[in-house]
Amino acid sequence: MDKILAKKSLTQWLKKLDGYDIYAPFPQDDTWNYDLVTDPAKVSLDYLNTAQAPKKIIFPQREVFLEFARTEDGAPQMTETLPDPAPFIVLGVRPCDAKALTQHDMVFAGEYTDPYYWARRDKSVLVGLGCATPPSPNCFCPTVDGSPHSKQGLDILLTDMGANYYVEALTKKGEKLLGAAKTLFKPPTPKDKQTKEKVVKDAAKKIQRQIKNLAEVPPKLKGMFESELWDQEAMSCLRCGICTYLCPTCHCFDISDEVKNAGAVQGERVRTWDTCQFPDFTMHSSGHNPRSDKASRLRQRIFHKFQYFVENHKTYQCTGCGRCISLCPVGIDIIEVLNKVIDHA
Amino acid sequence: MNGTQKATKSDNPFLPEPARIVRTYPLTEDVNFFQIRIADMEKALGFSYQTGQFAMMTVLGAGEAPFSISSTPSRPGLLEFCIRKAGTVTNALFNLKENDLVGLRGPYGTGFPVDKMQGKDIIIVMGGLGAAPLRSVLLYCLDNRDQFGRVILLHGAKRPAEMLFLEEQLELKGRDDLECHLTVDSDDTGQWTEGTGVVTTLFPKLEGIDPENTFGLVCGPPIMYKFVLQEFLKLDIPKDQILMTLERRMKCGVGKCGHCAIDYIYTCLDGPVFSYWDVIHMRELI
Amino acid sequence: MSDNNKLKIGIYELTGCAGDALLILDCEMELLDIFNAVDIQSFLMAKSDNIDGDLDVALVEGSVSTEREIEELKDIRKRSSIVVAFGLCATVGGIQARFSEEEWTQNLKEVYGDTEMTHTKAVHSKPIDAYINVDFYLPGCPVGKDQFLNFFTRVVQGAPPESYPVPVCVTCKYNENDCLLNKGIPCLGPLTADGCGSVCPNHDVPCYGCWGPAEGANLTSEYHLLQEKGFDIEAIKKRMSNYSGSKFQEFFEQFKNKESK
Repeated sequence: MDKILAKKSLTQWLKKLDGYDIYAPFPQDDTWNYDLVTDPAKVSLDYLNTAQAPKKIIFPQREVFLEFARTEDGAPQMTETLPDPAPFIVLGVRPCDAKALTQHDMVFAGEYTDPYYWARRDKSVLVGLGCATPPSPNCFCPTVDGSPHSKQGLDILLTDMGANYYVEALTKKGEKLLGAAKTLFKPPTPKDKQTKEKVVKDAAKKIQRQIKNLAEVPPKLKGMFESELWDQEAMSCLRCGICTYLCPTCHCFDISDEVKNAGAVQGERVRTWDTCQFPDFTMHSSGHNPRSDKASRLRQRIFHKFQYFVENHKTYQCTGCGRCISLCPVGIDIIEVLNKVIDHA
Repeated sequence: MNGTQKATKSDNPFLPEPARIVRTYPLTEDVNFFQIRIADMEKALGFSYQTGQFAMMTVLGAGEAPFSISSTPSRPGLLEFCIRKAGTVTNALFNLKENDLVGLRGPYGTGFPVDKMQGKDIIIVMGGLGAAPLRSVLLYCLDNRDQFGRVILLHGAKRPAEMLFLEEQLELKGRDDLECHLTVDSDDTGQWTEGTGVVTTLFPKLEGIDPENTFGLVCGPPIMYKFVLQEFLKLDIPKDQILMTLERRMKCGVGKCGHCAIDYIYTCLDGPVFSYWDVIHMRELI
Repeated sequence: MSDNNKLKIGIYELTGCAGDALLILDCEMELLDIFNAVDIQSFLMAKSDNIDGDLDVALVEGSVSTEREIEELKDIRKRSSIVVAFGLCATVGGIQARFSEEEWTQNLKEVYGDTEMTHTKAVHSKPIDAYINVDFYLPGCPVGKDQFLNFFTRVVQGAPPESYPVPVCVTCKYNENDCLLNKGIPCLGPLTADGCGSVCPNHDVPCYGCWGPAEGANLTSEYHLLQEKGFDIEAIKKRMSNYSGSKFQEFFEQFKNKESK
């Protein structure tokens, strides 16, 4: 279903969306981050990209799996705490971040499905905003089979046409949102469609960075396990973890018990984000660590994203958002690393 | 695709099942034996697993950790574990007594391919805590003795006091359908009657090995693999018949958290039992 | 264990400001629970009837700066099952240990001249693990309240305390802060052990490293990064050595050698 929405009608539309929590990007200091909307009038989609990917709304940083307490007769009790959120909308999702969520979907399904993830995911409606201009000087989504107006993972895609948005409802969930404010949405004219096509075409040309032959990387990596490239690249790594925490596709987590008091056992089992870039990620209780040095961990990140995930899910575990490149304090650049892999003998 | 999976309450793979400690006693200075029974009797009897699989054991307040199952599925009802005191969860486990409740999730992982091993000779090489998972397959073979050819046990430990299941295995030596060789690096008791030397010194005792029809199973500390695998190769045992069960740091046990990911597999889903072929191709395995 | 099965705890202070010991008393809401859960045998700041006998856990604050303290420390080690380096001074030596042996000797002469010390002799200040085996480290200047309570809860339950083998950057990311280094502010987060909850970066103040060095911190990289960004390198060296006690000494030695060439 295709429609046109005037940009100045955005607030009105949001006001009509009863029964949904809405998350939108808001400015925070020099950057933008997703937050719950309390006043629809304050929402503006005039932004580049958020520092933190919207994955944190569906796959939160910290999530309680179960609560436990010791009862009077001494037997510990466990109470499952499955989330039951109200349906929620994430507004202004860039296509790269939405594509990343489809990759999370692959990970959290499979032989064992993760009920905590799906309890939120099933209630989510993603309204994407196409990128008329690249949000970051380090964007490279076309290289990894994406595009500035990709529809993967989205329920609605908005294309910025200046004074209006070209609205495409891609799923039933998306159509329902449009139905909440029918009068605000007009059918597109042939000229609208032309303009939209032009915006989409131009946007694809504006992407600055690309890797010419990414398809060469997975097979090449197979032979580069022992290469010195990893030692060289990892030398300046400060081990701050920014690359993995801000990455929209990274999904590794830790599970631990947090006890609340010193007497009787009472507490929560929580899941928190974790990163393969720290030494204790693979530390055995015996003290043996298969990835004890930084080079092997950097290698793991590259291999996991561009070889292992490809073998399992037939897609690169990277959507080209460029956050890791822009925000690494020492400038470790994943595009440079991949180019070096391709140029490797 | 937009989130169409639905999980019902009982499908939560992260929720542990309450289980009771039936028996616990020390095996060595830092390893205790635990016999666990799932609290719900029906579930306890219905819990089916394969030799070599593992379970995630929870001590509420301390956390969860993976442990190989040391009992054999041919004796259902009770699950047995050998646990070394090494970290938060294990320390908390050692403070528990009989009848205390723990939590159990599982069984997870791949087991030993006993159907492929039918009718073949089995060499089991245990070192240190490697005895824990291999005891499962050893007892399984003995319980189903007619399904296997020769069953040979080679077990090495640092000292007699550190050999797991020493008494049990000394008793097994009495069986004439099991070739059982034990050895320690050094004997500090003066009463050790078995062999001395590292476990590879036991290999020359093996005679008449028919490599095509033999499976070599090994589990032990990382350093041991290199040498034992060499011995297996010297015997010309085919590479896909050399099996090992490997340790890895695990958190979720169901292939999501990424901790045990090696190459394109997850140790908790596609392991912990691997063949020599896997080890050659996946270089971070050990 | 004492008769009523409570763990015997002793809290000792060597050379330091006593801020860590004071922090225990600062846990006003939990104080009664703490005193009920264990049997505190010795705590000079809070008790007058102190018994210095066998202990299950000894919390030692402060660095070692006199010969008398060396003896006291060794005695504590002998009679305690577990010794915890409590606070930054005990863990890495604190500010007083940031000087090299030469600098320390010079400072001593400057301050005390030729005065003879009668009751003990001063030694180059060092963290407690320079003299004894330490079981656990709880860094912080002072230790964080939450971190201390977590640690205490674990100890009482007989489980090993949580370790923080990661730098401050982890918590800083969780708290959705903008990386100050990327904004051109000299933050020592990547070099500093986590546990404080990234309190300073949460308020746009760069990390000063008061939790001490993180395991495996990449000093060279941070140093070059700060140099590239044009910071006064002498000021940076001072800042890096402030809370790192004796741990970054080796790193700075290499500069001395280069500069003297």
